[in-house]
Amino acid sequence: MSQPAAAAAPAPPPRAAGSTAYGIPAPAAPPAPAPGPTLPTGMPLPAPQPAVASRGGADTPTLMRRISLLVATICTVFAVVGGLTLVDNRTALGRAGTNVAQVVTVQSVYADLLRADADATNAFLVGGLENAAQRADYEAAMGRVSESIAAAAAAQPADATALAALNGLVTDYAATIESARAYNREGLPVGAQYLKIASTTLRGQALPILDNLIAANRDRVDGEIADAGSSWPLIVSGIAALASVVWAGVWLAGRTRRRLNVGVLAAAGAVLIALVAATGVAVSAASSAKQARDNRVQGALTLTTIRSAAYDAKANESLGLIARGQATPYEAQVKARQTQVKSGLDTLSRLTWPAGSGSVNTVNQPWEAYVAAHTAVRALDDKGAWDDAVKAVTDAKGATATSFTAFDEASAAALKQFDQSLQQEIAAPQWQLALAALVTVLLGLGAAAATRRGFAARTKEYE
Amino acid sequence: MNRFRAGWLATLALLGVLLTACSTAYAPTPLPTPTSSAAATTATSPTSAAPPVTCDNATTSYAALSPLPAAASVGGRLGEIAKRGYLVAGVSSDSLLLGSRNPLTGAIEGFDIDIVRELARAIFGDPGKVKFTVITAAQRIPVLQDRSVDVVARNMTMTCARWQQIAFSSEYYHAGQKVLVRKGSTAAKLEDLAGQSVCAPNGTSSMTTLAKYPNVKAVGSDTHTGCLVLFQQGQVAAITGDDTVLAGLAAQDPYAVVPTSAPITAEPYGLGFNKDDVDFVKYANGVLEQLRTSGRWKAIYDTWLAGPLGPAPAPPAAVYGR
Repeated sequence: MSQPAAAAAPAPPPRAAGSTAYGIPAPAAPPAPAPGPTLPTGMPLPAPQPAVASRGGADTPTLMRRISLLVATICTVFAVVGGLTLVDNRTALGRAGTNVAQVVTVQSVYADLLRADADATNAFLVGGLENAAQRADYEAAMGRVSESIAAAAAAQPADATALAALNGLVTDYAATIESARAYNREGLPVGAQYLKIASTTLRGQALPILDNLIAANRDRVDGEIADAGSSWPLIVSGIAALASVVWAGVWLAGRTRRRLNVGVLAAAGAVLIALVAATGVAVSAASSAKQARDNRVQGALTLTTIRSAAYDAKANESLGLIARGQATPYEAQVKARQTQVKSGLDTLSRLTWPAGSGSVNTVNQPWEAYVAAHTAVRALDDKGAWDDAVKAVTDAKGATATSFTAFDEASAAALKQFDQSLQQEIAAPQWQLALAALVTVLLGLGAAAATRRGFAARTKEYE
Repeated sequence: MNRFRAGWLATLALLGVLLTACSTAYAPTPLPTPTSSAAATTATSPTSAAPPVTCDNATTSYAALSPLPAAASVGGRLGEIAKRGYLVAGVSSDSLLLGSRNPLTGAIEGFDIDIVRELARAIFGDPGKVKFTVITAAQRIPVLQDRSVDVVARNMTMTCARWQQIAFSSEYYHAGQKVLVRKGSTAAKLEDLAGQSVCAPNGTSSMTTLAKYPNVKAVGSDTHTGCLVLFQQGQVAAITGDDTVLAGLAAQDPYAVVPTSAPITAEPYGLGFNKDDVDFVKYANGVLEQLRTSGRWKAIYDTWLAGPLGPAPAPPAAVYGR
């Protein structure tokens, strides 16, 4: 029972007889299986298993365990990194949507301020007792300005300082307009001076802050959309995971002489599916976000820009008549704003309009009519018929007022359509990204588990 | 087991790094760099004011045409105006009593305006044939030189320096420069306002006079009404200008008074014309002559100025000989 220890020692089946146990030289290894005196106990030595490599080398089961742990960790990292990348893309898309909403809010403040100013200046042409509807429109516009400033400050902390400064100026503006109005009602010329100061405060100080807010938020939209399109951590970790699983499978096949390991094969399949599906979703989400930006966001911003420009043109039309005979600088401003509206309408004509929102013509036609009416007003004033010009501008049923109102309503309707569709289009890929993130995490972790299992089955054979 | 835990710890650390990278806040939206936006401007230094041209005949104009011929027959600029069918006048729209827009009617009205309407009545037989162009004080000479208006009736003082650039009618009103102060103030003239800010419109003879008082801080504005806003906002302690203009400002603010003291300077008002329109000036002088003698001048004075400035004096006598 004691003699034939070495020869009779059971060897693991896959090892070829006579080969070195581990393929690793073990020079200073304990002289375990040497023939000769057996252990006093007479117990058979368990041959190669307990052998330990002296310099980082290890026996097959240990190596298997290490490799399986390494590959499983890489797969887990892929699950986490891939999932996080997709979640991050989704968050970026959400933030892009929030920033777009902020640009639209800020642009609406811009448009409402100029709308209020157009009302206030136009009222000066009528006389001390202004049109009640016009006054109500002024009040409503200023009310929306206050609400939008508060909403914008809550939505974006980074805009808080600029919005606080803007709020102060809007308060100044409103107070100056009220002074102007009070003096005007008393028939005192100092009222017109207060109006002029209010207009200077608005255009010289408040609007530049709004320009900065619009620019900053547009940059944020671009940054987030670029961020939402960046999926390299997903791809890199996925390729690493796939490569490690494939290498592990090849290594295991070579070591065990078994071609197939179901666990490793399943892991490779899971990683491959996760990688392809997640990358596909990420790329398609990024491209639809870019499309939404280039079309819907562009459309909404262009519409708010032309609305602001149109209100400013209307205010300058009144200021030009108030300045009586000195309309040139105001008319230059009107012309600049008309050019801005025209180029905005050109941009809008190149965009795909949301279904059911009509076409650029719905906005263009009333605008052309207004420009014609304005030209007629200027012709009256320029030939000395100031009273007729004023009558044309202040008559609520006149061509100037009706065409401008039509433009206002058409552009507001189009803006609403663009705004709604852009929120939908930016929001749509978000759930796809969330789903892809979940799938990536599950498949990645599944690949890790499958790798462990596949290796464990082989390791067991050594025990 | 230790290695296994280390692997998970590394993964968690990576996750933490990624999460912090995600939650970076945006840089605050920058505010525009502040620009000087106040309506008030520091007055130009006395050296850059009108060149000190002296003469003893600033009120001397060209001899009046009498009797008045038909405007169309005069030729030159006046003939063109007669053919055009209306007069273009540069006026103020915010100098209450002299030339201001009545917010209730939209019409520009005042003493200067009625003088121009009389000129239109003489040319066309209709005082309504005037196109009013609102100008600031500083624009009075440029708009005459570039011929964007035919005549300026905007409380314009006849000075030798201005005669170098434009032509004047005979004197149609004799004003004097005074100060407007807060009710209860003891200051009655510019000397009393040392160390304080006083406003006057840029490009006016009032500003030129103000600049001669180095102890007073001169503040410029585009119009006298602009000065009134600065006064109401407490940015200036007083306003200086012609008594006529100050009376119009005081009428708009119950806390503004014009102390009764001798005027600082004499301010003879003339209608401004392009330097080359000598025949037109002669014609206008003929019209002014008729206003003086017919009693129409006094009627216009009574409409606008008698209330705040007292009973009408004799109309200023015309001086010819240029």
